[in-house]
Amino acid sequence: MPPLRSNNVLALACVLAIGVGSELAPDAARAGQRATTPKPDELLKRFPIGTTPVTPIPIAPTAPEQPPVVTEPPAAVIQRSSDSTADFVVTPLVNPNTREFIASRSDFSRSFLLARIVIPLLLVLLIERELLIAGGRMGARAFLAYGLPLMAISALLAYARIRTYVD
Amino acid sequence: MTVSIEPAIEAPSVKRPSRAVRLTIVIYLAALVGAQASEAFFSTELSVACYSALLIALLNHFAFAPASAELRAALAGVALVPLLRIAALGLPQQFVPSVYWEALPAALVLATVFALRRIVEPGGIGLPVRASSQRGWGAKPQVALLLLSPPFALASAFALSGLDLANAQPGRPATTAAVLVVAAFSGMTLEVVFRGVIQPALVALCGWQGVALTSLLYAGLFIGSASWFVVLLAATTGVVWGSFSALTHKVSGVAASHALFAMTWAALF
Repeated sequence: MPPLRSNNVLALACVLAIGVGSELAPDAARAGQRATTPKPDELLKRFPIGTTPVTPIPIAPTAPEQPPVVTEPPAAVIQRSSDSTADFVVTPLVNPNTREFIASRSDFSRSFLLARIVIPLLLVLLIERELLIAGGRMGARAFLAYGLPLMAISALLAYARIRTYVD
Repeated sequence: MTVSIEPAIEAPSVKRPSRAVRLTIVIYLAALVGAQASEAFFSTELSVACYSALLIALLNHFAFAPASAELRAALAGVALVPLLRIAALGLPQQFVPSVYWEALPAALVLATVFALRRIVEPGGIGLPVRASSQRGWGAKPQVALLLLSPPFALASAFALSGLDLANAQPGRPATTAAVLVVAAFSGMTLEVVFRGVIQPALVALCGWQGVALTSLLYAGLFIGSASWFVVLLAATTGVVWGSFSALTHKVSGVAASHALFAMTWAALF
C-alpha cells in the first residue's frame, strides 16, 4: 500500500481542524460570554418572534425616566422582517421547508446540527478516496469532486459558529 | 452544450444493460424521491441524513462495485441530487442575504459538474453525446422554445393563483434584479445537472424511459413546495425540456428556456 500523499494528509488535517474547532472554540468562548451576552437560542426562548425583548430597570422616584434597555433581537427576527420574498417562493432548492428550518434555529445551533452530518460524510469521502488511490482504482477524483462542495459547506458552518462569538 | 460523465476506463459496453441493472437505478431514484418527501412530511434533519446515506451509497457503488459503464455513469450523475440538497440545506445562513440562498448550492454543484467533466472524456462509454455527423434541429426550435417559456410561466402562475392552490397572488412588484439573476442562474444550473448529466446517463441505461425517470426525479425536488400543482407542473416541464434536449442533443436551449421561465416566476411572486 503506497504511503499517503502529503497534500491529502493536509486536507484531512484541515477537515479535522474545522470539525474540532467548531466544537471546541465556541465552548471556550461560551464560558467567557455567558455572563455578558445571552446566546441567540436563549433569546429566542425568552422572547418569541414578534415580541420586543425588554429588560426591566428599576426606576427611582426622583430620577428622570430612562428609556428601557432594548436587547438586540435575534437574527431570525431581523431576517423575517426584512425578507419580502418569504411568503411564497417556488424554488426547488430553497423551498418553504428549508426557510422554516433556517428561521426556526439560529445559525449557531443549526450549524452544529448540520456539521454532525456533513463533516463525517466529508471524512468518509476523503478516506475512501485515499483507499481508491492506494488500491489503484479509478474514480478517486470523483470523490474529490463531490468532497469539495462538502468542504465549502463545512467551512461555512464553522464560520457561522465562530461568527457568533466574534460579533 | 452536452455534459457527460465517463467514470470508468473500461471499454464501452456494447450489450444492452440488463433488467437488474435498470432496476438498481430505479431503486436509487425511488429512494431519492423518498428522501425528498421525508423533507416535506417528516423533518429536515432526517432528510439530510437520508441524503448523506444515499450519497455514500451511490459513490461506493460507483467506485467499488463491479458495474457496467452505463450504470456507473448514471450513479455518478444521480449522486449530484443528494449533493444538491445537502448544499441547499447547509449553505443558507441568516447572515447571508436570502436572495443568494439558492445561488450558493447551485454554484457549488455546477463546480462539481465541471470537475466531473474534467475527470472524464465525453463519448467513450456510449452516452448520447452528439456525434459530428449527427445534425441537430438547428436554432429555430430552440428559439421557439425560448419564446414559449414566458407565456407558459405566466399561464401556470395565474392558474396556480386562480385555482387557489397557493396563498399568493402574482404581480407583486418587489422583485429586484438580483432575484432575477439568481433565478436564471439556478434554472440553468438545474438544466445542466438534470438534462446535461443525469438524463444522458439514464437514457443510455434505460432508453427513452430515462427521460421520464429524470423528470420524476426533477419533480421530486418540488415536493417541498407543498403544492401538488407545482410538482405536476415541474414533471410536465421536465418531460418537455427533457424530450427537447434528448432530440436536439443540446442543453443550451432548455437551459435558456428554464432561465426565462424561472425569471418570469420570480418576477411574478
